[in-house]
Amino acid sequence: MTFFLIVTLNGLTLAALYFLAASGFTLIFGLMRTVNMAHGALLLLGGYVGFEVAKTTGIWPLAILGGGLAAALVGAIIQFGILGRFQGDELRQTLASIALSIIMADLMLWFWGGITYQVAMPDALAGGFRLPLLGVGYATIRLVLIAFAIVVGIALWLVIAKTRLGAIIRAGVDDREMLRALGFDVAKIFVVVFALGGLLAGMAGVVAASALSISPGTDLQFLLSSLVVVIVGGMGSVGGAALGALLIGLAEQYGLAYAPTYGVVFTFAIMVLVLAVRPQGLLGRSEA
Amino acid sequence: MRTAFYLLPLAMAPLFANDFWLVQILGRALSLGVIALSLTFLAAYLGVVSFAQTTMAGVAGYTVAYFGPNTVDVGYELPFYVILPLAMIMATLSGALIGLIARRSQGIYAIMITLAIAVAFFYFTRQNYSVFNGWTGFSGLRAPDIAGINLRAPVPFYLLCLGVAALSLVLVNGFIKSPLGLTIQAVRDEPKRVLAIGIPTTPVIVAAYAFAGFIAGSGGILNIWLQERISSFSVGLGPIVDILVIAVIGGLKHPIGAFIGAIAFVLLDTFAVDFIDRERFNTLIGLVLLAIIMGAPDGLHGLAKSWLSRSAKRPAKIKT
Amino acid sequence: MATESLLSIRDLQVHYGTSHVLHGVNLDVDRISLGMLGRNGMGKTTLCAAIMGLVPATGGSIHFDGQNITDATPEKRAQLGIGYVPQGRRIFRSLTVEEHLRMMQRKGSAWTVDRVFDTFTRLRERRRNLGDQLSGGEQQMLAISRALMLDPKLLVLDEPTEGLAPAIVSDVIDLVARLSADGMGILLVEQNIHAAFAVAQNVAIMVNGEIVETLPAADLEGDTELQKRHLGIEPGQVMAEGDIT
Repeated sequence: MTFFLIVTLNGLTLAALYFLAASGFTLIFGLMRTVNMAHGALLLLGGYVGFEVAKTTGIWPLAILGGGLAAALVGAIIQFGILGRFQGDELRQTLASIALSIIMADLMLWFWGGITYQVAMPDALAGGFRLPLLGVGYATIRLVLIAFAIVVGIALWLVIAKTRLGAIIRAGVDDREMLRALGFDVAKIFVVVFALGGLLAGMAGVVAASALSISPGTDLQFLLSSLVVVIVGGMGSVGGAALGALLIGLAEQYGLAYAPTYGVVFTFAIMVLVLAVRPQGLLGRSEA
Repeated sequence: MRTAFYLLPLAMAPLFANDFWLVQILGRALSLGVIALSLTFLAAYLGVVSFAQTTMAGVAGYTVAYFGPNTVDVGYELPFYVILPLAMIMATLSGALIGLIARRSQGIYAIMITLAIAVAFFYFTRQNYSVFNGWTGFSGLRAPDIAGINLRAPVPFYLLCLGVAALSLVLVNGFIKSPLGLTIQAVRDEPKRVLAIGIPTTPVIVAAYAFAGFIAGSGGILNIWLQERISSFSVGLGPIVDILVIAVIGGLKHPIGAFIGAIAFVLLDTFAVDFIDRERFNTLIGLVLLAIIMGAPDGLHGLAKSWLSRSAKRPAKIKT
Repeated sequence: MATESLLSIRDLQVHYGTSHVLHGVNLDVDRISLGMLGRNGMGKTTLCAAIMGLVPATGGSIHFDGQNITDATPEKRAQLGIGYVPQGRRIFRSLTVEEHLRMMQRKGSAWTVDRVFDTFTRLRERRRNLGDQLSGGEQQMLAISRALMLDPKLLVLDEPTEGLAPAIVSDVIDLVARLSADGMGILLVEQNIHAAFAVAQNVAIMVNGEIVETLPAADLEGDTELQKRHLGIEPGQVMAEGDIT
């Protein structure tokens, strides 16, 4: 029973990370129909920058912020300088973002090398936490990570549901052309949303580097998890990303604990099943 | 015939090229080109960019490895005339299965789903030891002697690659003109109308993927004979992206683009080390890819074509 | 080319792929209302989209308020003062009524959210409803209001009465007539010729992607022969939807 609960907690931790990574990915997709294959690279960049900030300042929240902002800036540059040039040609954008992810991954490898990094955490988070009822210890950072994902999820929901920017983003998802015909500079909004997606990815990178560790390959790992999460949850839906992350995170950890060889098949089966029953994803809208 | 125009100088290559060029440059480019051709076929005629072509090639490769001679003591040895058809059948079936899963997905959705399938297969081969032998995979794979010809020798191997490549091109060109091939193109253009005239689209899409699996499988077999090994890394993201890069650089609009891209890729891969730090090859290939995507979306084939017809009047581009 | 008209279209060509939709349209719209009539498939909606920059012109020019906007982006045209009420209304389904309007709020605009709510009390009642929970008439009021929030000099309405109940149709007509009387330029594309006659001072008739006739509305109203020739209708008959040539 304790084992099961620990596995569940591990699953929730993983789900939290997956959600943080996938939320920015799905946000960008929902508005712009751009599959940003460089999303994982942005996440890894955020993680590395967060590491440097933590090393220099020793302040963990600053590391999260720094990593997020660095990825946001690069994301904005990518959209403004490259992807925005062929808006509407999603295939070309996707291919261009693959090229960008190859370049970014290689340059990061050059700069930071092939070694594994872990962001130093404040003492309060570094230790374990004795879980009530269960009587077993659990890494505090993992619980903080779950809390952080929930806070980010709520904040993201508030931005989208309650602010003018959120209304404009939703309007753009509904009918991009009409939004332009009402005088909104969609290209500018795209850059802002790409930066927001980058911010989420970068913060996820720092959190991943704190709770786990990062190294070359982390970018692809999270790009792929984000892909699967949004395919399952529904592309463009932040709620779908949360649901998808929960399903995939738990499935992966249960798989790892109870059927180590076929863990990945489990994840894959969920994806195929969802595609068979609801091709647009659990909370996705069908393409009219 | 146009094909002969390309084929003749290539068939004479053994007369003037050394073994390194025959096998490591031309042979490798042709075998990668055949796998990329399966991607180009799906992109040009079904309108789907598939990331799962390396997977289909890998299925054929693993079949040959498992049932053929290897040095890892996994598998069950069969004679080559059973193995080869079996490997092609397995690759075709894997293509059909992937098509069945991705049948309702187009454009970027298809990219995501085929990528997810391909990576799931990669993880699976890494974790499974009974069939795929995990990380290690299979080594010591050897092309057989057929009719007294040692296919491991450079010239026969090169000619085999050339023959398979030419045959694949002819096959693709014939297939797209067949009734099924035409239906595939109709599904690409107007899936709803195809449905409306009473043709279910699923079997058509599955058939296209299965055909792509067949092509990819033949390239996959050549590739493992060349590499003499296969492991999860052979079906990992690196080779997956390589095949995509080849197809995009060459041009997704025409089957020959796959081979143009493959030659360019192999030349870069082999000789870039003379210009840049070996470690930075990925940056170089990424920049080349980006430049092609931004500047010449129809790839080198498209560039060559527009260069050749520059004197002719080109249709005005309509802005969107 | 400076012109005195608010909107001046010269020899406008539009192609969709290989099909030639607009064949050299010439049209002037001033601060009086112009009705645009024509059967389905004649290119009226394409003309509206071309005025907004939603489809590219393949030839000719469009000037608005003294500026050449032929190649301007849709957002630029809207900012210059073209309000667009599209066919099918195109309300954002995941925005509430109030969000539609708040989003458009700009400093110094003559139209504020409160003014819209005072004008359309029904919208105030439904301010918390999502776009796809509104009736057709409410959606139309919202589509017009949202365009008004831009403080447009010209309002382009593409079949605003389509699919509405007769009582609502007269509300829409009254509103557009009032806006016109206040000095706003109106381009009203209609299938319903009675709606057009009620609002428009002049009418233009579009046949196969060309303007074949521009004349005072009253003249066309009295000329059943002309109506029959270009619009294919008998006197008193309202052109039905789906009346395909």
